[in-house]
Amino acid sequence: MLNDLLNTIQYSLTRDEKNRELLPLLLERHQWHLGSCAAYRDIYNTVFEGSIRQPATLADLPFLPVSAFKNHELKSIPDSEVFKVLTSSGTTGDAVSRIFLNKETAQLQSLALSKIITHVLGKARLPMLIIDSKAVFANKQSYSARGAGILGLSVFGKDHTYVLDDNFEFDEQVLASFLERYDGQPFFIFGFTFMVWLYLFNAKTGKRYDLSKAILIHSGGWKKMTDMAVDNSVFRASLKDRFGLDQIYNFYGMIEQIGSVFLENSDGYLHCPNFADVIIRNPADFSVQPHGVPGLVQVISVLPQSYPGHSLLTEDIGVIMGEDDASNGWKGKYFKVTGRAKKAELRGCSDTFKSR
Amino acid sequence: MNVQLLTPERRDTDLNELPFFDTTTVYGLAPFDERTLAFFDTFSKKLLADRSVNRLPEIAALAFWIRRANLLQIQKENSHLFGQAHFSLSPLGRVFHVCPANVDTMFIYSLAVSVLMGNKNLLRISARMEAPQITFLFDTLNELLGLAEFALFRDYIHIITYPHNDAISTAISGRCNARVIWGGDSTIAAFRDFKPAPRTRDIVFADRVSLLCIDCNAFNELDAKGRENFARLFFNDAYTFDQKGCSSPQSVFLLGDEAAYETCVTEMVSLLSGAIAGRYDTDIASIASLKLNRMVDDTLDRTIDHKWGDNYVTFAALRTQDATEAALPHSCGGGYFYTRRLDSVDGLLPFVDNKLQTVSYFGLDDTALDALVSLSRGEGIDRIVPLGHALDFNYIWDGYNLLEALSRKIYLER
Repeated sequence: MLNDLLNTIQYSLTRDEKNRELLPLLLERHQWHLGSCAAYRDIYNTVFEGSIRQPATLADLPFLPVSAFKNHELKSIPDSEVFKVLTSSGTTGDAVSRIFLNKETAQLQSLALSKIITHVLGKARLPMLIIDSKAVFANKQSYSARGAGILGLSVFGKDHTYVLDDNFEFDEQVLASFLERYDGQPFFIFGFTFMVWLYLFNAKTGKRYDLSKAILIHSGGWKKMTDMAVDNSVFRASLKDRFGLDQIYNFYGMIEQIGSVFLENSDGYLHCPNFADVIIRNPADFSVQPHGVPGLVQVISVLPQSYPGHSLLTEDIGVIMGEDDASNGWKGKYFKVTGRAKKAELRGCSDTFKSR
Repeated sequence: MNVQLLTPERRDTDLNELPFFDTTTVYGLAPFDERTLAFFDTFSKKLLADRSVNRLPEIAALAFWIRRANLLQIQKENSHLFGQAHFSLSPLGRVFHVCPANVDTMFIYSLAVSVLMGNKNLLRISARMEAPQITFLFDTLNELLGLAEFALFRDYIHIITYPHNDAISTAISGRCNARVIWGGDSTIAAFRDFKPAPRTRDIVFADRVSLLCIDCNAFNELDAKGRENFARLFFNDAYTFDQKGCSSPQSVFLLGDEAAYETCVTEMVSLLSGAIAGRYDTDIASIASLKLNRMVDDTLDRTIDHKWGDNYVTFAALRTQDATEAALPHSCGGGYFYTRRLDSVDGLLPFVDNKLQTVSYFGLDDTALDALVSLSRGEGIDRIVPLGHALDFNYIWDGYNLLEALSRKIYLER
């Protein structure tokens, strides 16, 4: 059943269909974690009064704060089954999240990510232009979120071409010869949002380049962009204006729910895939906010089996913008992230860019 | 060594040029000198005359405290210090006050007591202290010190700021007769490294925790008006500084049998939630995250086993343990209260240690209060006050009588 849900064409389930398909899988996940993770069971009973009620809807599921993975080792599998431990890079000095994966969950994550990314890139691997430098991998010890993001997405591309040199300088020659090689063909661009802005949009070039055949996927949060007074619409309009680039997909996701990413739809909003959902919570009492009313973003994903991460409360503020009626025909809820809870611990998805 | 002078006027100055360090002048002011009373009474009137004081309850409280009538009342309460045959009271001399960085007017009280006792004072405040009520306070003070009739006090009150600078802190520490150190354990530890002169007296205000003790039946019997008042007092004590004031309750202990307790905790949480939602102006999304994180930590650390309430007010039940209890946990603030049912105040015993400062209470009879006083013998509990008075300043604070702590007794045999 889970595989069916992943393998169906994404963004295809309407609200009722999603409730029918997704809800039983998540209730199953909930029961599994109750039985396999004592910490999850304790949190459910103490914080969510679990002993006196049974979840009947997605909104009834308990939600762990994402910080719980920093302060505690949370897993639903014996140590012997741990296949890989993911760690977040966060701001220096912060505790890091540790996410324990078994083979099954790791496979689900890559399958899910591939379903989402190929939905917009197509099945064939496209030539890939990366708005970053290979030097981002230089520090093997604290493998940065940027490095991990680039590697994660690299499986969807070929001829991986880094447009910044080892000194993080834009190399026009690299761009020119890449475009020459793939003249007239579709290609894939990936980069962190602020890198795309600083090093692609703001690059000084000798001539005009046409990127209208490109599909740009970018991520990493808007904090740095907001500091530069650039929002999503300015970002999109600017790239279109300068390069003719108009297939642009931002995505929202976190290490605690790898594979479960929310890709930008044609209206510029983040869209829930079939196997994931978003609920906006009223910060006063955690009740469910109606569409259009902002609150804390809760992310729900069917993927996490080896650790209790199927339902998480983020410190992001967001708002549901609609459901089942996106203009590109995608079904499911779509939302936008408008900021972060103030004072709440700062956690960048990408590390601080060390320039030169 | 340059510092920024804020009072008696704003300018940069060399530390050594401050009249504070001038040892050639006499100390003209006796403790409770009539001129000092007149100075503070005028200061009080000036503060209360400003319309903005209506929005600043802590400034209003300060203004009332420094009125002549209140200061004379305090002198009366301390009759054991005045008019004695064998000793007379004298200022200590030069007093260095290290003030906390958070927005708190408490250090102004210790300044007032010190001036009242006739000491010369140097206050170091944090440059970050730019809250409107603090600026208002300093401006009013400067205006007063600019008047000819109060020129004398320009030698007695110096407020300065400088970035963390060990050389300056050491220089002052070596040349004062007393240091009043607010700002908690870390500030005290830092200043222990700046060696004071051998006879310098340190009056320190360390990190403390406080709790609230409520009689369940007394709460349950309150009518609607009584409950409204209860909520207002609770809010003032706990939410004014987001539970981060030393005297704000971080835990609530409920006295009564199981039935009374169940009713009390359920109705109190719902009452407070409604009342606080309308008054609380801290960003609730950040509080929601903070408290959910803490609740998860406390659950997994086995500190709590149940919770009531929402993100405006959360009561988290302390897990009952068979073995000796851990010390009273520190709340994350923002309306997160540890709670526990007790049969009587004697049940507080495991939580009384030298960190416990204020026990505020509601509905306790004299027998229960006497039991609390008994519990305070030894290391813990420095204040026992009714609900609504947790943040009220008193010259008896943290176990000190500040009148005595900031003065000397001169033995005299005729």
